[in-house]
Amino acid sequence: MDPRREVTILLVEDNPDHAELTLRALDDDGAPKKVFWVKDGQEALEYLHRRQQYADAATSPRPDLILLDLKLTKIGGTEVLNRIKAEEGLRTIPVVMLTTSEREREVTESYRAGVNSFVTKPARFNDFVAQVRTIAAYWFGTNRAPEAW
Amino acid sequence: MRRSRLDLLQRFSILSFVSIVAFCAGLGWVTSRVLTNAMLAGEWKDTAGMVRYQIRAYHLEALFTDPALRADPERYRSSLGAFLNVPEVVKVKVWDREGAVIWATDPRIIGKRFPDNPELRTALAGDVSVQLKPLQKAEHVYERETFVQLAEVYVPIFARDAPGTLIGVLEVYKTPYALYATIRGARLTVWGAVVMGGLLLYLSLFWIVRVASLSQRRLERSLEAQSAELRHRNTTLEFFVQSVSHDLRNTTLAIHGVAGCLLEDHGGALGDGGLRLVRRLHANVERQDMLLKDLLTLSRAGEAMSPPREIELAVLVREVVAETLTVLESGPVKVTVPDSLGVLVARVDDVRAIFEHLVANAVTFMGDQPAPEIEIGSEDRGAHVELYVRDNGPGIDPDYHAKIFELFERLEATENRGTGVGLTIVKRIVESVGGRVWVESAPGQGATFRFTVPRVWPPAYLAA
Repeated sequence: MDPRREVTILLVEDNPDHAELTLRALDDDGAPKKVFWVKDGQEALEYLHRRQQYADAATSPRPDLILLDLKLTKIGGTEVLNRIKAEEGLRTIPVVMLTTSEREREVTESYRAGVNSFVTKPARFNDFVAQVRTIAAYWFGTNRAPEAW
Repeated sequence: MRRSRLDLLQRFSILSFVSIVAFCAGLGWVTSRVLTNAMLAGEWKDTAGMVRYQIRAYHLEALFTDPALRADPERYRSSLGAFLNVPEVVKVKVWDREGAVIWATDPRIIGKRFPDNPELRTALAGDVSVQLKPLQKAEHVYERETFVQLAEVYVPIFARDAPGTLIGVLEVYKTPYALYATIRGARLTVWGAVVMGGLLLYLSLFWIVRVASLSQRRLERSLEAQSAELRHRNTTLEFFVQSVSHDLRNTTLAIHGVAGCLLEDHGGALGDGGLRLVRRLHANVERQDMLLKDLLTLSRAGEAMSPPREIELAVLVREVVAETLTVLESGPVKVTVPDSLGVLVARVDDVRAIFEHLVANAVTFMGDQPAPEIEIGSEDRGAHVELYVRDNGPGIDPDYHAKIFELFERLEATENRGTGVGLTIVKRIVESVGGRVWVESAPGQGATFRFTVPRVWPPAYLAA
């Protein structure tokens, strides 16, 4: 992937403060990107399936990366992950699970469901900002994604 | 569990049945035999008494001693008629004291000797003896069924004027119908009593064991129900702790993050006082997060997350020590770890947590020791290994040695780490694999935290 190309990130996060911190961390790193924030699992699926207010492909482009919170209202993170990975057209999008939980079981379950990365959010602001930037740098710098989308 | 208890009742039923039957059979057999022998002995004694009385009463000693009489069989027949009239007596035979036949119903054997007759020999030696013979003739067919036997009773006869001097033997043939009828009756009574007694014994034992077994089953059922209830509550509580901790940590990040944004965006406008307050806010939020993390670890300390695997302890301990010192941002601490602490088959996360908390505890409560030192070592305890973490801190008063392992107990208020959960986590993990943890210390002498764990941990925890 051309490193200069503008990338699209879908952030699925129900805590507005966490969302703001994440957006802030992604904004500050200087790379060209568009971040779309949806606040629950149902909205995430609507975005991905281009339904409701996300029907227009121009304003709701297919994401290059999904940052998915584990604990979500309406439809949980694991369920959203399951549906993404079960769908032919969506399953190649890398999904990074973000959570404050440290339960081993949830890590195992997420990997079984096909998550691409599982990250525990640190409690300190600086650590969190650094972590989000590391994730972005890895997936859009180091990692090579499939071209066919 | 239920299966083995049922087996217990069944085993008892069979075992007690067999032993009671064996005991009763033995008892019945011995009793009836003793009784039969006693009755027979009485009968022969009576017979001998009757014979001797007749001899004496009718002055029949001459039949044995007077050789002149032997030529006159009719005299014998008429003299011995008194015996033949006694009920059950079939015939009689007269022997002299040398063992020769003086008179018999069959005249062909008169004057003959039969030296291989043991009963006769016993009688010639002065004792009454008896030979029992089964009835074998055709006319005895019905009598044989009632086991009547023909008894040959040999009665030694002594001189009237010289007691103890044997003059001959009178042999009486008897068919003791009445005696055997009595014996049969006695045996029936004995066996009846034995069977009834055995049955009663078996039934009462069975009833007692059944009542005990039922009450045991009731107890076990209620225990099972209670432990199921307890497990359910435990799971609920654990879920509750996990959920609450997760939500609280979410908030922790939000507070810390918002304060961080405040610091970044408006730091200049806050002034020194404002900056100090935001830093204090950060410090407190970080402390709260540590507490939450520790509580989460504690709530999971009863879960066997992964199977035990082989651990080179010294390597792991050195790793944990380095990490812990970094995280705590402690000053220089001299830590001694031997080249080898042995190999443990255990869960890495748990062993890691134990050393992490013991080392953190030692560092945090080092006091104002200018040259802090920590020594880690091990001692062989057979199937267990005893490990210790020794520090040269201020030491702990023995009054508090048990208390420090309790949740949220701290001996001094401290601004840095020390959530009051660490030692509780250590205790929970160590005890869940069947080990023990304690502290050896006195004020001013440092503290040595010791714990024992099995060299090979069980695949599941003993007490989840």
